[in-house]
Amino acid sequence: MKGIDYFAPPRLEEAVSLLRRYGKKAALMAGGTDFLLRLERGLVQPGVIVDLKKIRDLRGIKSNRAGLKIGAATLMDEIASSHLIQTRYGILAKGAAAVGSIQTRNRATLGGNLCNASPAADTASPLIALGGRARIAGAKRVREVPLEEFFLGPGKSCLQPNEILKEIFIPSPVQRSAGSFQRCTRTAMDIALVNCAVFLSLASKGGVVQDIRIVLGAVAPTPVRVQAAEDVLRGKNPDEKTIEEAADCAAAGVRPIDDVRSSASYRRAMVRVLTKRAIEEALREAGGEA
Amino acid sequence: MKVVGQGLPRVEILEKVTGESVFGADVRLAAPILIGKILGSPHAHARIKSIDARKAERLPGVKAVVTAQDLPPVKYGRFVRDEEYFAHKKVRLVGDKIAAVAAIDEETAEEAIKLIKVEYEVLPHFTDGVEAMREGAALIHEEYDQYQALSMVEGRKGNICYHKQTVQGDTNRGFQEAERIFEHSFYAPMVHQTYIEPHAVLARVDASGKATVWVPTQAQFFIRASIAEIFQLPLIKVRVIPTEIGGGFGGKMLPTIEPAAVALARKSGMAVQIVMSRAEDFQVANPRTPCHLRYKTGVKLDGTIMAREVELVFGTGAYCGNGLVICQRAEMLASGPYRIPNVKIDLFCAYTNHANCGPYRAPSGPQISFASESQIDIIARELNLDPVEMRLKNAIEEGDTTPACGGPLKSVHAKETLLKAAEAAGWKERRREKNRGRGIALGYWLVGGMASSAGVKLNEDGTATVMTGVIDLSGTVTSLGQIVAEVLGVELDDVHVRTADSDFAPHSTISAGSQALRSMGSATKWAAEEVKKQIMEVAADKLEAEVSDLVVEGKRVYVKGSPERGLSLGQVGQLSLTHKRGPIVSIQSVSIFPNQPAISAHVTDVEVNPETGAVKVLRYVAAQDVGTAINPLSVMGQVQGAVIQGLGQALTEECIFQNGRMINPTFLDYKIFSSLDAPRVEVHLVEHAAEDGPFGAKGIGEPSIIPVPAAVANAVYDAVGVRISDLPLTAEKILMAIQEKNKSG
Repeated sequence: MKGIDYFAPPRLEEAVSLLRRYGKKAALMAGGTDFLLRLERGLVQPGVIVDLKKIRDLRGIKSNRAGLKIGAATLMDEIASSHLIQTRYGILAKGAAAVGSIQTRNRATLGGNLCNASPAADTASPLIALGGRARIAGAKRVREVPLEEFFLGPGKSCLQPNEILKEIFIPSPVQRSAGSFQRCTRTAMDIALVNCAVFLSLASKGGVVQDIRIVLGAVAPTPVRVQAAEDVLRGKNPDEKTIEEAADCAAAGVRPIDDVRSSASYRRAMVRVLTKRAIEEALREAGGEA
Repeated sequence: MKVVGQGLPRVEILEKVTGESVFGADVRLAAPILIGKILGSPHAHARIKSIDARKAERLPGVKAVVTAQDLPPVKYGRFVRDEEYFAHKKVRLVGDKIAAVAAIDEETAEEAIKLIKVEYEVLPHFTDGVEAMREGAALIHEEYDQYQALSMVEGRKGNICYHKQTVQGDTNRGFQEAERIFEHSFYAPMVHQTYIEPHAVLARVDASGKATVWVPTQAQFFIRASIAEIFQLPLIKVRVIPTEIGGGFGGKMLPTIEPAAVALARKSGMAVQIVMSRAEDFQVANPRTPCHLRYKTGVKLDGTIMAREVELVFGTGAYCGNGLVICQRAEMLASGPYRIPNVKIDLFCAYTNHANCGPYRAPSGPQISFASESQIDIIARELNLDPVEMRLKNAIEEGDTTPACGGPLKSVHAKETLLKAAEAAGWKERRREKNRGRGIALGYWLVGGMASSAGVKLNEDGTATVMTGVIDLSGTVTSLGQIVAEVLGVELDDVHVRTADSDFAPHSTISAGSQALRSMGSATKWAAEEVKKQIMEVAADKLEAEVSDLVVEGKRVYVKGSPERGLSLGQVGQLSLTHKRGPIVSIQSVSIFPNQPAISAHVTDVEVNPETGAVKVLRYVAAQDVGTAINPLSVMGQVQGAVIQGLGQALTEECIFQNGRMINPTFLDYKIFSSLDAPRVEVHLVEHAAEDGPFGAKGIGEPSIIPVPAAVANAVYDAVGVRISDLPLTAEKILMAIQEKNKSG
């Protein structure tokens, strides 16, 4: 850990130009709750750390008619305890509240959780389900990527070396929509063995599912949408059998692994359980009948 | 009693909550401190072909590199002399120590470690005791026959470092007399103490060659003796200064990093600090011994136990260390707190290629109770008996014996403790609800007591100071203060107790085995009583009264019946300096105490989610026989802490190995129970002053971790009808068992 230069620029443009100047030697840090552990264990060996915490533009939650903007350096706890997010984008608040301990959530940032690109990230699944988009600042412009295309593999996102995740945009939910976030862990404070976010909308009358997104975490190299399961429900007024069919479909559509936390087969079984629970809860919340 | 029996806050609490307390890694000296690091083996079992540390020695900033060559060629070990501090011929576990370096900072020390080149020839390894015991298994210690060992170490063969058979009665006859015979196997994996403070040490060696070692330990006199043995020094050349300790649970009694720090300090001429990382601590410190258990029990149809055969296989680790403590305990506990005419116990302790296992809060207790009390539950159900009735029918009573307990047991309150737990939990009034279950289990524990001495002195203002070397893990010094205050008729605030170091404290017992207060409390009480006598002698002369007419009370000594004819203790303290007997002080000693049962009985209600297998602990009721609670606040805290620690062992904790390396050495993947998981633990104390122990106190720290895994397993069975026989009861195992059960109909 010797000889690392540390910068904490106050403006996003300066951070981007530091990245351009130092190239691969530079590492970005926000809350540091993951990064500093990786640094201590020698898993990253940067020459330069660019700390994003001081950049005011990266902080805060703003809402307008089109939707919600959350700065990448907004704290997990700010998201979890935001009344606006709790009421309009509840599954994101639940995902943020599941990350680590209260101490962690007071340091960790949304952008950090996403840019780590852990397949188990508890904010990733809800954001994908909500149709969230990543706004990424580069040297010349800001580009926008749907979050489901943001993750490329464990630890890998679509960020280019000189890019910084600026904010997340979530479109306003349509009428008669609702979601559910479910997770399965070993103890109360734990990384998810599996997480599942569902967000759906119902047709103007009755219980027909107009649109639905089902996203699963920790069961593939990235958080994954299981479109085959979504297709089972779209355009239907789902009964218990349809929901179970969708849950089976989700379980068949994931690629979990065996590891120290869980076997693949248990993860697959939990995908079925969590997906079913999430669909049922989302239908109830949206005003349909489950 | 005025002070004993009060739930008073701990005397050192202000230092703790303000952060003033100095723990292992906090020690600083006026002189600069080097940082030490240890090179551990990457292989679980290998022959060392060569060690080359020259590059590390030449690295700028490195002040010392030590290997086996820097220490006297000493083989040491409490039971078997099978361990050399630095490996040079073979390594026998991942993390086996090969070399250590001291450098000006951590980065340099880490870099130096990487520069040490070791060539290995990798050998087959075993992390399971049964596998290591197989005929023809590669030997972990080829020269085992030549090792010196205590005479109690019997049955050595192959990788078996200890085998003992204990027989009481005739089990063959007992099984013939039985109407039903039950046989079951169980397994309890390695678990770690997970104290909040990893091992840490600071050492320096002065110009006279005397080593001073600051260390958070439960056993400063063990550490002193071990260092003296390893370096072949007289005891006066080693001074151990115990720091505050962030938990021990049995894991901080024998040296781990301390000799490396001393060797580096000696070679560099500077002070050296070594602090283990959490991962190192998980990998190489002294966890709970993994154990295979087989129970065969013969019963009459009315539930009377006629015979019990127990076979236990412990995988003790690469070196014997403190491992046989677990076997000695297991021999006493294996048949449970029951009156059984015919018992046979076979204990096997096998070398394995992982950390030396050692005591962990009630060594062997939770493993044994998990097997024994699960089986009692199975039998009760099979015989259509109430699990409480079945246990009551067989529980030990005053004057009974159990194998190796050392004679007829006194102060036995097993039945009362069991009934108290059952009654508090409303055992009989329960209402059945789907997926909810209730389990009960008994914990058997015997508390001994070891040689101890303590001093009390009366100061010139009437306050008293206690001189003790006992380590305060769980409120011991507060309780000692309460004992002295009670005897001398003063308040707790008038007594000062803190732990002194090995140069200045009279010999102290270890703070382990639930006996620190029983032993040290007795020595302290006797010293206080002697001080009281001296107070009366000095006062009697001044007051011109008979000693027998004096009362010591309310910080005064006065003539019975005329309180105005008296002196304050301060006046007595002053007077003693000119009195013919001189300053008032006494040091008293106690020897070994007989074993005393300390029974715990637990009832828990759980809910099992049939879709995920997850267990939620809804309610936990713990009753424990504590003798007299010197400080009920401390006692309740100990019981609650033990239960929560036990719940982790029951449900989530396990050291998982791959190629001899623990692959979950962080709290991310070694899951202990946090406050979010813990239920409220309802504690019910059974209080009857015991035969010995200060004011009738029994040992209290360990018993309540013992029944937890069994109580939970029995509750899970009650909830969903599946019996899990290997710990921990993970959601995944329970779900698989439920699915299996549904399949088979």
